[in-house]
Amino acid sequence: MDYKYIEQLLERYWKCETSLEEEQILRTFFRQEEIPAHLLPYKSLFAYEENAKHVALDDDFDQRILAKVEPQKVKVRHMSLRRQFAPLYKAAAVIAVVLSLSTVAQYSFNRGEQVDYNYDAYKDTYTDPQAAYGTVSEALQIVSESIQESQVQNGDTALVPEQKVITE
Amino acid sequence: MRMRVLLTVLMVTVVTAMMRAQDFASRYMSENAGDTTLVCISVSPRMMEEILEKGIQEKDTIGITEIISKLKSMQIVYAEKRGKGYFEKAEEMAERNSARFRKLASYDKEKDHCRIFVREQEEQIVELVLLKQEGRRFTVINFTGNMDRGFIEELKHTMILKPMKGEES
Amino acid sequence: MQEINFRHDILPLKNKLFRLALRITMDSAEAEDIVQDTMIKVWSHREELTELESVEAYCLAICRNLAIDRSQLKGAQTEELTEQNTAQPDASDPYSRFVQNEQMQIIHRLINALPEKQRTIVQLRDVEGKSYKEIAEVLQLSEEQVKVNLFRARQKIKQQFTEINNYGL
Repeated sequence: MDYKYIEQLLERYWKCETSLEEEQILRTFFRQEEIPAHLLPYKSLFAYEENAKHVALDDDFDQRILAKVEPQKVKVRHMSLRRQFAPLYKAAAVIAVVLSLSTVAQYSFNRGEQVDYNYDAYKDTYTDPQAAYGTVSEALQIVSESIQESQVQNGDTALVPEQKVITE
Repeated sequence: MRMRVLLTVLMVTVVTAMMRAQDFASRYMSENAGDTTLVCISVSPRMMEEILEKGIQEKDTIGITEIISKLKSMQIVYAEKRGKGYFEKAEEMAERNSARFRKLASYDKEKDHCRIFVREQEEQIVELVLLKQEGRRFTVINFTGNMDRGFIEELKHTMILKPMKGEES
Repeated sequence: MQEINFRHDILPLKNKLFRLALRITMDSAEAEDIVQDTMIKVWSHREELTELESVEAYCLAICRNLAIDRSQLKGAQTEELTEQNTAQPDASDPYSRFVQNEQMQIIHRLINALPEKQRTIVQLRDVEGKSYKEIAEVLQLSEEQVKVNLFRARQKIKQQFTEINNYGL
């Protein structure tokens, strides 16, 4: 395969002489699996640019901005929802008491807000952050290696990688 | 009616506030209180912040700052002997609390055993617990923080495999 | 006189605006606020919009200016690339979820370490695919100036990326 065209495009890319279409050609080219060794170093740059396009706001954003820009409609909706669910709030409070009392024996019960750990009880082993870092880094290493070992033994299904991994 | 709801909610808050959550390592240590074979190392949220501020050098692993910034604390529990007993106890404790901890990963290799549990809140991992037995040695590595769904993948790709000190034993 | 419709003309720009704000501030919470504020600001001046050619360019310009102001308030680096910049922590950065490997992490950091103008131009050109004309409009520069800045940015990325990779060997 003749990569001369790509190489020329690349040269012009660095000099900012490429058009938008030509830049897209480069991005498309580097999306492939098989890239010749001498062009491989540039793959991540173009792959990064492609991926960067996928960053987006979450779905709730629309609701929030519309609430500010078109306040009338949303206010009415809020009121009727609150009225509808009022009796349920009381029931929820009662259930919460029952549940919390029953789990007091084992762990404290957390109802879904920010988990609040008792960090005040920690007695720091280190006074030097660099030393502390060394241990944290080592620990992360062990966790990482263990996860990978687990994957090797059990196949990828051992983990729950539901994150939106963008593949080329 | 309103008052009753308020009082109920208040009581719940008080009850939960009195029993602030312990991470796995703290719980394990308290269940084995008095056992001098077990050693606990702690890195508090304050020290974690100091690590981010001055503990990381330029030559250190690229991307580790991002990883550590998602952690709030770390505790390590270890023992140099009776690893099997300690490990089984720890595993049992995690499984007993299956409502809180979900098994994320696991492997067994001859005399070595490893389990990783996570505690999740909504879409975040708020606590990660690694239990390890290597022959006679027992280790718990316990992180708390705001580790999102991509964290595990990020961790794998940030920590480059390199030989650990004293690995060949 | 053309009527501007919020849902039709402004709202669809949300992700482009978010990505730009994020590129400048490197803080996703801040970036989201900036997008909201940009939209509200633009919307409250919608009478003036009807005389403009490109609503999008106008929105991007407002967004960029807000992002720059907010970055300066926080004291974030918008200066020249230094050794320290390349190791800057970005704890609340959703980009990291999409950065699959170490190489891409390096690119990510290199771009984020560029001075703001170059960073913005790279974002608008290489990620959003905007023409030099459009970018010139957003930044209130000449097309030639846009090209010069882009040139510097690409050269820098190329040079540093090569250096880092060679060092690794």
